This record gives sequence, structure tokens and C-alpha cells, in this order.
Amino acid sequence: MRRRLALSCAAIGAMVWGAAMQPRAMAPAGALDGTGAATQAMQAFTVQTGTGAISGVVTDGATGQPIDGAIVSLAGPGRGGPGPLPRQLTDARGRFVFTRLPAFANYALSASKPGYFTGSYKETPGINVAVRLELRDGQWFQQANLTLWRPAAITGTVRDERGEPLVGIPVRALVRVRVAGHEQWASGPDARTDDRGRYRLAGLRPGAYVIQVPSVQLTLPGEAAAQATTVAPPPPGGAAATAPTPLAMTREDENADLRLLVGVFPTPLPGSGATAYPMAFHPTARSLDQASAVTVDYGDERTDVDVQMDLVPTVRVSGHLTGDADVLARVPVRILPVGAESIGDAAEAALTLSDDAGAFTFLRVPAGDYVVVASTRQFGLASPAAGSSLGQIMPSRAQLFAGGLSTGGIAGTNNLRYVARTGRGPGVMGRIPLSVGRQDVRDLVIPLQAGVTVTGHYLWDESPNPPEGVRTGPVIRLEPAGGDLSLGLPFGGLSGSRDPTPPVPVPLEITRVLPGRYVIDVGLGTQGFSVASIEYEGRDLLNTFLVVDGSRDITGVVVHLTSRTTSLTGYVRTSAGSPVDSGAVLFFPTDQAAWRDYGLSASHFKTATITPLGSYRAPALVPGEYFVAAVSDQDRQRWTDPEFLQTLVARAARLTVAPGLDRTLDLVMEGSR
Amino acid sequence: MTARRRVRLVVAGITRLACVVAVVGAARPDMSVDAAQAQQRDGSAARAERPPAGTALLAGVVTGGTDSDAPVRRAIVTLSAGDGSDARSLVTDDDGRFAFRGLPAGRYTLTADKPAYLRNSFGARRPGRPGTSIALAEAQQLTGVRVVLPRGAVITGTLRLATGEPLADTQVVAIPIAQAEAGGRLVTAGEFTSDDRGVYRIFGLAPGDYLVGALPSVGRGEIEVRARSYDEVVRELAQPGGRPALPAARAAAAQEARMVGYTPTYYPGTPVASVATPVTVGLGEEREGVDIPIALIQMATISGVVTGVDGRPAPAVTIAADAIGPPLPLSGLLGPRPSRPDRQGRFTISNVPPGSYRITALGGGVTLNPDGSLRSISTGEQTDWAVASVQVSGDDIDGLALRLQPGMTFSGTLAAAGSGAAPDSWQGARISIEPVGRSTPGVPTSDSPLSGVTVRSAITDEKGAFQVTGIQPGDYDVQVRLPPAVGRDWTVRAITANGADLRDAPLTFEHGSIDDVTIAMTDQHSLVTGVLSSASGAPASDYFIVIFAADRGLWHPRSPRVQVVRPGDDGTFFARDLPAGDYRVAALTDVADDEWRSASFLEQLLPASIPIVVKDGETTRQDIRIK
Repeated sequence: MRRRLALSCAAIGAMVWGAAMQPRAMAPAGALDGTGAATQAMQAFTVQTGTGAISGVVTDGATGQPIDGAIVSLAGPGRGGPGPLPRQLTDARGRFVFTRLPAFANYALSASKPGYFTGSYKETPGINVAVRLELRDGQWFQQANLTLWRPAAITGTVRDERGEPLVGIPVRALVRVRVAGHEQWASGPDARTDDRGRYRLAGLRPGAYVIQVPSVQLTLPGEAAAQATTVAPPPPGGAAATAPTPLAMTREDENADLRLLVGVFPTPLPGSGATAYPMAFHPTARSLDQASAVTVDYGDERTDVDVQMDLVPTVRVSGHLTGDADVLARVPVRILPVGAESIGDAAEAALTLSDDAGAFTFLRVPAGDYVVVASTRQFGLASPAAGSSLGQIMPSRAQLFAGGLSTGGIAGTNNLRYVARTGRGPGVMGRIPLSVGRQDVRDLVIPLQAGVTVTGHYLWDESPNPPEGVRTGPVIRLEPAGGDLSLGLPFGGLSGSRDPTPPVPVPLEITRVLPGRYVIDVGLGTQGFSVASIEYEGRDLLNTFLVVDGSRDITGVVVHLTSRTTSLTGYVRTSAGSPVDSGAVLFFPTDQAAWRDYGLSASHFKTATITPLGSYRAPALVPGEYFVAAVSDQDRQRWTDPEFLQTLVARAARLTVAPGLDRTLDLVMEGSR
Repeated sequence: MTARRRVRLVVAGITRLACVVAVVGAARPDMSVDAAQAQQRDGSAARAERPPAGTALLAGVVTGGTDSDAPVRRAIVTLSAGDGSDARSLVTDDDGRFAFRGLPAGRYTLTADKPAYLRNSFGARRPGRPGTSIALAEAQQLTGVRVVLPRGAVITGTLRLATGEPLADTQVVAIPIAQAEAGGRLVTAGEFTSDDRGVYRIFGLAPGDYLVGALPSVGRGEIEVRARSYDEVVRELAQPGGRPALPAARAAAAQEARMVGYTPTYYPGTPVASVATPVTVGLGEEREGVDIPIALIQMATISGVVTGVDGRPAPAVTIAADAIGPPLPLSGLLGPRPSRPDRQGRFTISNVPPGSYRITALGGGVTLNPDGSLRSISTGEQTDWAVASVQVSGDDIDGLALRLQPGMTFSGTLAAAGSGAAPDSWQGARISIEPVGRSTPGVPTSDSPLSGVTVRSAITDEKGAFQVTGIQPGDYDVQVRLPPAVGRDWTVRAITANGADLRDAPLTFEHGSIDDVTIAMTDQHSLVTGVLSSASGAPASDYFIVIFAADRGLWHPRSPRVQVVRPGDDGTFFARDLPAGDYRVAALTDVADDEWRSASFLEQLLPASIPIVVKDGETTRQDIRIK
């Protein structure tokens, strides 16, 4: 039953009703078409009630004890709106009960409590996969039990070479992650030291963390420094209003009018400009490969994870960018330690901006092996608990990359995100290795590449014109195959709403694609079409890389879209023949070379949840050759590990997916009874 | 509490007052004054340019911390020329030393800072007070300059819920009481958040009294709490027919849920700022155990009807609810959530924590077109207003009636009064009518601040005409902001209506609009300057100089006819752009923030002051010696 709530604004009510009259508004939630927003607005103001009930107990994962006063949230139809789907507090025995629930296939249940991670129904520790709960009319589901785990914390003190605590400086946890089959560093949570030099990184998931004190030697050309007005000290007379960390600049070089920003990262010595505190890692390491990781489990508290900062000699590094004259000015130039490119904000040993002619100077660069990246884009990997404070250190990343920020998920990771920052103007990129010793580096030349353009067209059931009613064009994205995000995520065909009549061909164009190997991801929304193949020079790019060498534009890419749907369902049984009531079905390519270098979307890897009745329904599958295997809930995210996939091969079923596939496939879950 | 502190300050004021005499015939050559004036006025324009290299040296040491003689290493020392532009910074070495080389001659201010310390200026009596400027001559080698940098105080404690669980990731602010009482724009002493154990630690605090408040974030906002026990509900579920269908279920659901939430809470555990206990810290003191219990508090809903000037329901109205008290840095999502009125003018404000509120309605925002569709209008067009004060203590409030009234206007013309050539156009000057907080000493502080009253402003046309509309009753200041092209040379000489300068009395809108206003602009600047010297004749810098109107009738808290300046280390002082008239000059060893704006304070200065006359566009030179 639907009930329309009294709306405070009659005009909004009219808009919602208007949308409800259209059949499209009844499409499943998440439909990203033109009326999707209206659909959601309607749901927000509509509540359903029914005859179902869900109850359960919230317990502490470590002790098994019930948790009193946890907030249990149930998201179902009508979520977000005012209505009888309250958040509940558990009682002294950890119990909760929701009543009068309508039948719904996708209830999401979670519990939170201060001092715990938020826990979802059937969540496996460390793997954040929300399992939805299905409820029928009149059903009382009594096993909706939730387990909560306490986060770990790491604390310590940061001291300088005289043992004095360093106050107000950032400390960050780094974590090793696997993207497209390759290990990279990701930025985790960060904190600032207090007046005693102590930091506390809390909210940590179990894992191995490297504790870093970032330290960026930031050189600003005079012109840019003058514009970074917020860097100027606050006016006198407001000492009580001072932020705990002062910001100031020193004028290090009268001739070139270069300024060094000091005060947030550990403050270097005045005068000669010959020393700096380079980035440091617990306990005394100065590079990522020398750092020792701190391993924590749920609820652990590791103390005395101290970091020692030391002054080291520095040199001056200068040079210039080459390329088209109109792209040389104001390009951020970053000196990054080898291996740190994926960390993103504040990963640099040194940072500056090029001047109008493309020249740049770093005043204080410690010795080390580096990659110098000159780019109007910055990419980084961030774990779910990553803070954003490092991006706000002046001049903030938003100032350096004023074009904006985008972020997205990475398939197969525990909520790992990529964070992409872009500058204004044309995208350019230059990258060279640099080894810094005891001598100044002069005349460094970094050639900038503007990238090439990839063009082509779409065929809709082999017709160049999209069918009636298709309002938005596809979004096509090139993903660096090996997960090297410094190449960016070039995309084309941003979904502007199109006039549906008359149908006209949709252009396919992606600009500024840097040399590299890419996999192609096509986003169609829910328009009843899927990708059949991507034809280029006689090959299907669904199953091979698009290789861009930078010497020429890529033309003639044809994306074949089909309205033929695929359908694959089946039952999963134990080897003894009885139904399986939990777990997942994995779909992965038969080509072992495709078990890595699959970009961010990993579109050839899919997971289907096994229902309590033992059935599954495959999601949309990209055409190709697959292995299909049933695994337990604990293993459902292990497909990123090629060694795990190897263990499945022997018992996996083979499946060829082509447009129009319509079949059933029953599976056996090994090791279950 | 407030009254007692004020008395203490006044008593201290007398002992701080220096007996001064006018010095006749000791004026310095005109050139030096004019040069200094020009240098300061041009400072802002020269910001982006490189300063001329010089030959002077300024060197010294930063000392302080817990031991006032110990050197402070790695302090950031900032040297600013003139008006604070062109700041250059150095970092002290391991012995606390610093040296600025290659300085051009000029007047400088020097400040030192370091995280967890209290930023302090050279010559300041204590952190946060104005310092003394340093006059450097060409090639002067000034060494041994000492800046004291004291350690900041610390307030630390734990945020806990009634269940004993810590409240993590919650912002905690320390609000200086003086600022909380002053109303207006609130400056908090830094932003700090509780960690996963609920522990917060606010450091780098100046000595003084603070309100310490925790601001729970949106994510843990309101919760609907079940009024019936688990057992009760389950028993009902287990019975045959225990799952009632609508509409009985809906009615029951509405009854058993009530809205509660976390609300900003002050030490020692109250949502109401006026009953909070201030936390006092001394210089460098660490106060532990400032724990704040956070309770779930029942939220109220305020509802009512707003009618227009014509008495009919007013749907096109913006409703706002502002807490009376220290204006906490709340986000709009966290605080009360007003709705837009419906076609019958009915509005509701949900999620209102206990406290005193000022409910404001502004006409406009959206209005109805003749065909019934909505048309947006800008806030500038919102000229009708209504205000109500509401006390909330958890229970819902219904039936609040707001009747819009037309706003008042402030209109007139901007015109040149100086002898120089007027600019081609006065277009683009912003005339703002800004509400005055209760910041002024000598003015009753129990009254509600004008939170919720917005700044109204207008831009002049090419003839200099302006009209500010939508002004609500209250006390205001007139601010004139000139476009940069004329702002460098021109300043306000007088703002007159009906023959009187509006700045010579508090500006109150109560009985109607103020029109036919003339804002007289001048490019002829007045300057009062001189040298303060001690009884022995040496330059005296460790003083404050107060210049104030001789006529008691002109004393009011917002008067432009009072200025406090500090002499530089050579005893020279400057006071700019005082309106023409008769003034008195006095010297004191210390003056608190804004203290000098109160009439009772000026009254005490009168006997120990000397007369001067300020004339439009002229420099008045008055040297002063302390007896």
C-alpha cells in the first residue's frame, strides 16, 4: 500500500504526481535515465507499510556479547523519507525488532554504535559486501543478526632531531592494495600531532599499515605566492583565534622571488636553504621500501609507534617544461618518491608550479630516487577511512587543480576509491625519472604530452541511429589496464540529455589520451542495450587492450550495441546434492592473462549472490569465455587473487557468453555438505 | 558576573592613566611624517611588487615557553612593513635567533608564532594585544630585539554519552567568553575533534575564560526511539492476528516514535549557553577533566502561520530560526530545519533543540506568478519582515503567528566634498546597513543580539544615488565600501541627514525610513601625529594613545570620533581620518579591546587629557610628554 504524505509545497507534490503518471517512473530504483530523480523524489515522500517483521540481535564480534544501545537502520522502500521505518536502539540484550514491514526483496540492514564499525547484515570481516534481505508478506524473519567489530588504533609521538615533539603536523597511514592485479600504495586515515607531538590514527581495519609523516618542500613562484593570500599570517591582535598551526612563507631567493611555504609540514631551518626534514616513516625510515609496517587486528591499540624526523642536506632542482607554448604555464610539477605515485595528496618530496614560460625550480629536494611528474591532473588511491585534510594544506589541492575532483570505486577492493583532481585548461602530462644526490640539478627538461584523440561511432543493433526513446548517449571510459592512474581516466560522451527525436548518430570521441594500454568500459545506464563487441582494426577490444602509442590519433573504433539480453540462472547444491543457502557464484575469464591488467571496472569479473533457496541469477555479462564457480561468502571477493582463481579452475564450469544467451547452469559448491 | 568584571577593569583603568602634557615647538620636519603616511597608504598596492632592497638589519631572539628566558627554536618570525603587507618570515635557529637582512628603511611590526604557543608581537604587553612598531633607518643595524613567545594553555576532557560510550569524531570548540558576550561574528579558538575514545584536547589557548562546547555532527542526528519494549512488541507479533494492517498500524507507529537527537552541549553538560560553566585557564595552564556528557534530547517542532502585509496568507516567505546566545558554528543541516510555508502560509520548523530562538520571516525568496507557478526572487527583493522570540524546552509549539511588516529604507546620494577633482563616477560603491551586535561596553548586554537580522545593502548608480531597502527595526552601522579605483584616495567625511552627521549618534531604525542622506566624500585626509616622550625626554613606546571627541555629546560606542593607536619604538604615533572637530588626547599604559568605546572610560580620561583640533585635510602635530 502506498501512502502519499502531506507535502509542504504543493508544487513539489504536483511534480511528483506528474512523474508517477509516466510508466518510466516505475522502473527499478537506480535507473539513471531522465526521470530517475523524479522517481527517487517520489519514493522519498512515499511510505509503505505491511505485515512483515524483522528481528535480530546485535553482538560484539570479538566477545560475542550483545551490544546495548546500538542504532539499527533498515533501508527499504521509501527510505530517506519520513515514515515508519525508524532507526532503532537495541535493548540491554542487544535485541531489535521492526514490524509492519511491506514485502520487499532488497532490505538493507545495518547497525552502528560509537566505538564500532558500522556492520551490515551478513557482512564478512574485512569484506564490505552488503547482503540484501528478502521479506515476504506476513513473514517474520528472526535471524537478522548483526555483528559489530571494534576498530584498531595506532598512536605515537613525532620528534625532531633534538627530541622536541613536533606539533600540528600531519601523520598518515599507508596501506598496500591490489588494483588490476598490481600492488600499489593507497592513502589511509591521517591525523595531526597535538601539542605534545602525539598522534592517534583510529578507525583502522585489520591490516598492515605503514606510518608516514608527509613532508612536502613547497616552492611557490612569487606571483603564485602573492595569490595564495590565505597563506599570509592572520592580523595581529587575534591570538586567541589563531589556528593551532601557523602558516608562513620565507623568501628564499631574492633574485627569482621564490618562496618556500613553511609551517604545516615539519619546519626546515632558515637561512641557507640547504636542509629539510624529508618525509619519514616509522620508526626511522626515509623511504617506503625501508619502512616497517604495523599490523593490527580488530580492537587492537598499538602505542609508541613513534616517528623520528631528521634534517638532511638538500639540493636545488630546476628545469623547464617543453611543449606547446600555451600549455606550459602554471603546471603543477611534483617530485614523487618511486612507488608513491598512487598516494595522491601530499605524496611529494617537493612540489612547485611552472612559471609562464614553463620554467620551474624546487628549492629544497632531499637525496633520493624519484619520478618527476608535470601534470594538470593528479590521481590517488584512498582507502575508505582516508581523511581529506592533507588535500587542504595550503595551497590546497583545490587551488592547484582547480578544475575539480572526481572519485569512484575500484572493483574487487574493500571500498577503495580513486580520487582524481584535474586542472583547468588542456590536460598535459610529462614524466621523467630523477635521481637526486648531493649536487644541484639544473636544466631538467620535461616534455609535455597533450595526448591523442580516440574517435569512432556506435551501432545500435547495427543501426547508426539510436532507437526512439534513448535520451542519453553512452559514456565510454578508457581505464589504464594495469591500474596506473597517472594516465588518468579519459572518457567521452558525458550523458547530456538528448532530444529524443529525430534520432541522430551519437559521436564517440575521447580526447587527451596519453600513451599506454587501456581497457574500455562502456556505461549505458538502463536503456535495454548492452555491448556486443568493440571493433578496432579487426580485433575485439572487449578481449584485448587498446594500445595508444601517442604518435597518432586512434580512429574507427566501432562499439556494437545489442538489444538482445542475456539470461543465466541456476541452482547451487552441495556435492551431496542438498541446496546451498548462502555464498556466491563467481564468473571470471578463462584467459589467465586477463586475471590482471583489467583496469578499474574489471568488467569480466562478476558475482551473483546465492539466495536462501539456493538459486542465483547472473548479472549482465560481457561477451567472452568464462569459468563459473560457486564459493562461500568469505571467498566472494577473493577473485582479485590469481592464485585463488587457479584453485577454482579445476572444478569450475565453462561458459561462453554471447548476445542472446539464455540458459540455466546448475553448480556444485565444493567443500560444503 | 559580567558587571563585576567591568568594575574591576574600570578601577584598573585609573591606575593605567598617564599624566601627560603637550609639548610645544618640538615638531619634527614635515617630510618624515608625509613620507611615512605615503608609504603606509601605498602599502596595499605594492603587495604584489618586490620591495626595494635595503641595507638595514633587524636581528634578535625569541624566548618564552614555560620559562620566559629560554630560547624558542623553530619559531616563525614575521616582519611586516607598515600596514601589514609584504610580510616576510624566518624560522628561528636552535638558539632561538633570527636576523632579517637587507631591509629598506621604514616602520615594521614583528610577530613570533609557533604551534601550541601564543602568537605575540614585539612590544605587546601580553599575547593578543597590539605591539609596538619598530622604526628602522637606512643602514641601521638593530640587534638584540627580543620577542616573548609564551606557551598556550590546554583544555582537555572526554565526551561521553549517557550509556558511558565515548562520542568520537565530534567537534569541540572553546569560545572566549568575551567574544561570546560580544555577539556578532564568533571566533572560536581553533577547531578540534574528539578522537575514537571521545578524548579532545584543545591547545594553544590564550589565558582567559572559555565556554567549551561539543557539536555533534549531522550523521548522528535524530533517532526515533521506540516507546515500547522489545518483549512487548514480540509478544504482540507472536499472537495470532498480531500484525495489524493499516490504518491501525500507522497510528500506532506514529505514537510510539518520538524524535530525539544529540544537540550542542556545553561544559558541564547543558544545551543552553547562558547556564554553562566557563572554564578558566591561566598562562600555559593545562586543565584536565573538562568532560562533557552528551544526552539525547527531545527535539521540538515549531509551527504557525505567516501572513503578509496585506493580512493574507504569505506563501512566498523565507523562515529562519536562529538560536539566541553564542552563535555556534552550526551547519544548516544540524540545526532547526524550517520549511517554506504552504499556500495557506502554514510553516513548520522541525528538529529544534531546547533554547531561545528568534524566528524571522522574510518576504520573498519565491513568489507566485499570476498563473500560480513559482518565481524565484533574490534576497534583495525580500523587503517585508516579521520576527518572534520563542522559548523551546522539548515540547512542540503550535500557532505561532507572524505578520509581515514592510521594511524601512535608507536612501540618498554619495557626493564629493573635497577640494580635489571628483571621480568621473561614484558608481559601484556599496552602502551597507549592518546590524550592531551587543559588543559595546556600557550598553546593556542582556538584550538579545540581532542574530537573524541580515545586512542590507545597495550599490550606488553613476550619480552616486543609492537606496537600501528592507531594514528591520534595530541598531545599525553604516558601512561605505568604495570600488578600488576611488577607494585608494577617497574616504567618508560625513554622513548627514536633516543637517546632522548620522555617525555622531547611534543609528537606530525604529520609527521609519531615513531618506535624503548625503554621504560626503573627501580626498583630503586628516592626520594627527606626534611623538610621545617620557619625563626625561626619551621616546616612549610602551603606551596606548587615545584620541577622542572633546564633546561628551558625541561619545557613543560606534563613533568614528575615537581612535586608539600605539606609538612606534621611536615614540611616533599616527591617527588618520578623524572627522574635523575638537578632540582630547590621553596616554595609557594599557587599554583592553573595545574598552575605549565606552563613555564611562572616556570620562575618566578627560582630566588627564590635552586638547587638540582636527581640521579637514590637515595634519595636526601634537607631541606629548609624560609627566
